Amino acid sequence: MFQESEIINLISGFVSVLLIRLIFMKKEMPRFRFLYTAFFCIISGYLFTILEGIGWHVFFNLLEHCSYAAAGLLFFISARSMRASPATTQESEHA
Amino acid sequence: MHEIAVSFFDVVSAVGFTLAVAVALRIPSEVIAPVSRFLFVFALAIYAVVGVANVLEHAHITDYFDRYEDYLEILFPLTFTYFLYSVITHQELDRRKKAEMALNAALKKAEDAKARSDSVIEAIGDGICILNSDFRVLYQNRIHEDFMGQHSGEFCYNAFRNRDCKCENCSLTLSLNDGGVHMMERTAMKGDQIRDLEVTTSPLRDSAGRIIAGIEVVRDVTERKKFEDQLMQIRKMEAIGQLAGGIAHDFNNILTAVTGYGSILQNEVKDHEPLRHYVDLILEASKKLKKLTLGLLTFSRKQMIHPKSVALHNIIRNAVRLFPQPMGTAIDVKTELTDEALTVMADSDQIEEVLLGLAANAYEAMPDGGRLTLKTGRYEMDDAFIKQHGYGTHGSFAVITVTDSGIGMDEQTTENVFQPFFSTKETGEGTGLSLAIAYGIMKQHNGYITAESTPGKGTAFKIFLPLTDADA
Repeated sequence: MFQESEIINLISGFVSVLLIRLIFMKKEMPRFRFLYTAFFCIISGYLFTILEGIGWHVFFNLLEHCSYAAAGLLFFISARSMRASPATTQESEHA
Repeated sequence: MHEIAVSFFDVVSAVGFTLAVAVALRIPSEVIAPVSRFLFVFALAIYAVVGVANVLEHAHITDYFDRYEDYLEILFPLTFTYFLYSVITHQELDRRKKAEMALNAALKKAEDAKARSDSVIEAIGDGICILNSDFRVLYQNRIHEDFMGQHSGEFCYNAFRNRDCKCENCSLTLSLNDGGVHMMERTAMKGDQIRDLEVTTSPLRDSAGRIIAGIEVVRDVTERKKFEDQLMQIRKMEAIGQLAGGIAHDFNNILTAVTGYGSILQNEVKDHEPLRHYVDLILEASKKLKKLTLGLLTFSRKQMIHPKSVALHNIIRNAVRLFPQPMGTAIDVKTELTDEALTVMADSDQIEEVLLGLAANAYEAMPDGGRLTLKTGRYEMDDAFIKQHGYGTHGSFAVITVTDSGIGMDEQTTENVFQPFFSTKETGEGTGLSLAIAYGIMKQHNGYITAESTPGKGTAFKIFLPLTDADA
């Protein structure tokens, strides 16, 4: 089955998703697209963790770890793109 | 197989998050604020640790960190959400700060532009006034305020012309109606002086080309008009001189024949014969006419002069000896000669004739007696003299001032005193040529003669002769 901490993680994750979707994503930060996608991967991982406890353990377990791996890569890409020159960053932020 | 895949994904996750942490630590402050960077790194570090812990567990090295995974994973959504919030807040602040800076820069630029245009307007030297379509004064520069006084907000016709309604043929009305530039003349009092002003009006348009106000540019043309009058006077004298000279030259030739034949007749007709009287009258009239034509020739500078280097004081002493002694009146003639020896290039006889002419005029101006003074000095002619009189050249001059304590002349008489045939005497009492002759003689000597007079107080004539370095 699943643990209490996993439920809590999922709930806090969904709340964060809502906040991000409703408020932060309206602020037009194109550079942060990778960031959001990486975060959603993490939240997906939480979901797969719960689903893993319900059924198809192997499949959802694989998906869970795959989500975390994808999140890691996406966070790395996002950090790299944020580290680009300030002028380039500012131009795209104001685009 | 499943274990291998999971291990692989865990390794990728661990490496990805670890690299992300390393890169995130170097994100510049211009992109995200240091606080936001800290939160981001912390959030990434959570899953870097989780990833490494999973790798160690799968590698059967240690599962020590497994117990902390849950706590760490709970922190992640909160930390990440707060990270995004801090980024957005800082961006908002940054944007506001930049907007404020841009606004301040724009305001400063506008203020600088205004200060520049104000400086340009003040430096122009003319008075500038802006009036709206209701003829109210919106702006005056300092020079306009000096001319017309401070009248911001008032109607121009009331402020400048003391009227209750618009002026007829107002150039501002024309400019506002047809969008053209118009000019008119106006006078204004500056202190106790009347100044002549030239007023030019033009429309002020907005960026769409609509006329929104009028601009009035006021220029003080008093000095220019004075200069034009002086120039006209000089040209008049030149023209009169040319005319008089031409006529006198022809007269002289004809007169030579009359005088010659008259002399022949005088020799032929004996003293006791009745016709002798008429011949004598003819010759006497010819002599007078000859003198008149010589005077005109001198005025027009067609008479030959013989200049040489002479001591000015000698000329004056000789001339004073020749001054007439008036009967029945006591005129005190005084000379005040400077200690400096003044040498001029001049025809002594001509200068003596000038002084004699001035003395004769002075005596006539003092029928009840008075004082006649001749004073000499050195004068350095400068721009002030040239500007005042409209003529002159820079250089060192000897000046003779002939002053009398006579009845004086009014301004109009003083202005015309050097014109030929100009006289204040009754008809037949004088030719009106002596001062014109003096003028002509001075012009031939490259000198100048001026007159200043006050009715009731006397007159002063100043004669300027260029000094020379040659020995007398």
